Amino acid sequence: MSELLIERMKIGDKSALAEVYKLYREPFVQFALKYHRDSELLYDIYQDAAISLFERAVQGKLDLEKSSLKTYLFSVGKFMLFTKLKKDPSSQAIEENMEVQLGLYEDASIYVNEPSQKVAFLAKAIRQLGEKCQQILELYYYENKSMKEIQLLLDYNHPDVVKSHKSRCMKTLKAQFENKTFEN
Amino acid sequence: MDKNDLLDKLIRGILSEEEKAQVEHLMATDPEFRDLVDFETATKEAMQREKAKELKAYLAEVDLQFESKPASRQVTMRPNLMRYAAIFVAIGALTAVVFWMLNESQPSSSTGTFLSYYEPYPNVVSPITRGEEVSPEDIEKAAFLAYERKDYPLADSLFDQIIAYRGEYVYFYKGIVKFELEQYDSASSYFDNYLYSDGIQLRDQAKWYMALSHLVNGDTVKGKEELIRLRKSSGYKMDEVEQILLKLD
Repeated sequence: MSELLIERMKIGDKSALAEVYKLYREPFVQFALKYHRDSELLYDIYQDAAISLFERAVQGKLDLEKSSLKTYLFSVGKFMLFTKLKKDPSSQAIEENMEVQLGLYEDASIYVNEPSQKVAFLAKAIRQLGEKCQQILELYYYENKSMKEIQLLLDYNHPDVVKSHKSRCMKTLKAQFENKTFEN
Repeated sequence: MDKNDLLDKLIRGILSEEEKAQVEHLMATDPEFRDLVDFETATKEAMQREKAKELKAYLAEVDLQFESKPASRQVTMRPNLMRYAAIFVAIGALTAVVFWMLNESQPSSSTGTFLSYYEPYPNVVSPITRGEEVSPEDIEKAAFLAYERKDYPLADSLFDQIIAYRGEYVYFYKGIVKFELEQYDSASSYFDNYLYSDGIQLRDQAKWYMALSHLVNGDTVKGKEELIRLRKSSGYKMDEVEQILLKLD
């Protein structure tokens, strides 16, 4: 069953994400309650862990040869929880030796850190782009697709046409940054 | 290798060891390349965050559907879900009363039935954390705060102040506010405005709410048209769409 769910997530099927999400939601919260008592925070973190799993699947980076969907979700969720708790001085002391595997957790950081001013501004600017631009940028930056793949998906004549369309979109984005300064 | 190809591989996370070394060298020696990498990685992160926000709203809906179905096992409710559930129950009770009243006066009216499919869409645009202070200058935050507190008349007037220069999503939330204020014609036109804008995040939702606005307003022809359009374009609210279409046939 997991193989099928993973395959469906790889092609961006959100209903597969919903199935996986529902499957392990309560077990995750029961598991995480031993680290933290705020169940609202635990549910929130579990959502982020599921979204991060979906992202890796869509990007073709989900390699579960040595673990299962459940192990992945629990381990990313635990990582996110510990990172969040560390930031909160009122939270209980937590163990220092976390099993941080950089490859697995590289994308999890955006869920536990606030965006920089520049990224927040960019997110707003992206929303104001035209539909075609948003589509190309999503396929390239979110789904990790190559120009060739985007050409086939969006029915363009040649990858170079996608490339130049993307450059125009990026130019529009950059234009909004003129005379702006951001704190790091 | 060409700088643009290196940049492409860096963004897509497929650099070889040798190419990684080339990128590191360029980052240390070529300020133009460094700026480019900085902008591209920030764009990637912004896109990831936007998608995460969209998926979070989707999972919040999954939660609502999950919790509202009769469970065969004991499910611990999330505090915020309990809030939603309470609203859900309240809307359900209100709907039942409205339905009964309408049935009393107009036996053929199905407005109440359609209203039972309605629930306000969560704020997925401007997250507000508990206890956050909103500065008077930040009208958008204040508008969404009023929206979350269900102070729809206030949200209505605050959204008016920002609609001309904020994102397309304001049209969408303005539509929900109008629905809550029972101004269904106005709600439909705001959802329509959203659908004619460049906004993409809430398109299916806008179609769904536009259909409900027509139906609750008694225009079953337009409502049905919108539902058929929604069914063609996506699987959003698939079960509910099928149920309503069956009722309309």
